[in-house]
Amino acid sequence: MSIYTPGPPALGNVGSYQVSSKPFFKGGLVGDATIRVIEFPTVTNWIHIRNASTLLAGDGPRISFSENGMNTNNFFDLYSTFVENDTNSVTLYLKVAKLYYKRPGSSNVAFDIVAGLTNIPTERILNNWSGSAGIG
Amino acid sequence: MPYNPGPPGLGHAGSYQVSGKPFVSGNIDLSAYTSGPLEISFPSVTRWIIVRNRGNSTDNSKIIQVAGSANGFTTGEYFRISDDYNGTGARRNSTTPRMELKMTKIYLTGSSDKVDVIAGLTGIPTTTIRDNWSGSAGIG
Repeated sequence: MSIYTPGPPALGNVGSYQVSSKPFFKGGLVGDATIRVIEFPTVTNWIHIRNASTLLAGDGPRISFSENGMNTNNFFDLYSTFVENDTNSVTLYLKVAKLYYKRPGSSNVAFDIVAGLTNIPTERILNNWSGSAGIG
Repeated sequence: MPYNPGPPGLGHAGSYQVSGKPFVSGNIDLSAYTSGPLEISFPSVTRWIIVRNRGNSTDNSKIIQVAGSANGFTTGEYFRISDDYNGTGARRNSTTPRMELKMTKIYLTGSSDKVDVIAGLTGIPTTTIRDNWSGSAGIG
């Protein structure tokens, strides 16, 4: 007798993004001149990047979703908002398996990551979308 | 025999689509917890969590750390929240966004004397998450 085993959810499984997420925390990250990567254990539902520099106007990291993206202008910088002396942060609702970072200028930057994970295996995204327009 | 469906499971989408039952723990003095991090246990699985640090300092010395397990503070699986005010009228980013996370506990440490935890709860029993995900990557 065959037994129905549905397997893990696929990348387009709506319910995986409707439920609240499994937490993923990564603190004390330092962006320097080297391109570094955070590999998530499963596909993300959302990512929150916190610039937690103890310097009031300290800048945050340069972020991309492929190593090549750092060299092809497929990145963004999480600068501080100097006027408000704010430590800037951003929340991105993106399904990715990896996140790349480095410092945007000549000074190292400090930041933390909070992410919400789905149960979708990372193998469902080939090379973290690398090669796509907007990724690099 | 009557149909008794039991409580909803962890993947029950409707439990996260409705608004949450409120949970608030306010004005927490983290500086009083010198022997280890403060553990806050939720009565049911969370739909979302917001943490606010209302401590004041000129040098952001009342920054706090938040983790999903006590071990997370030593394994780098935490995040930080600046304190609220720099003394010259400018405010820091001292409140998290609404973090849509399903958790049963949260751990806090730091020297701030004013921290608030606000959460929206589902009706899902906490027993559906084993050890608050402890041991998973990103939790510690």
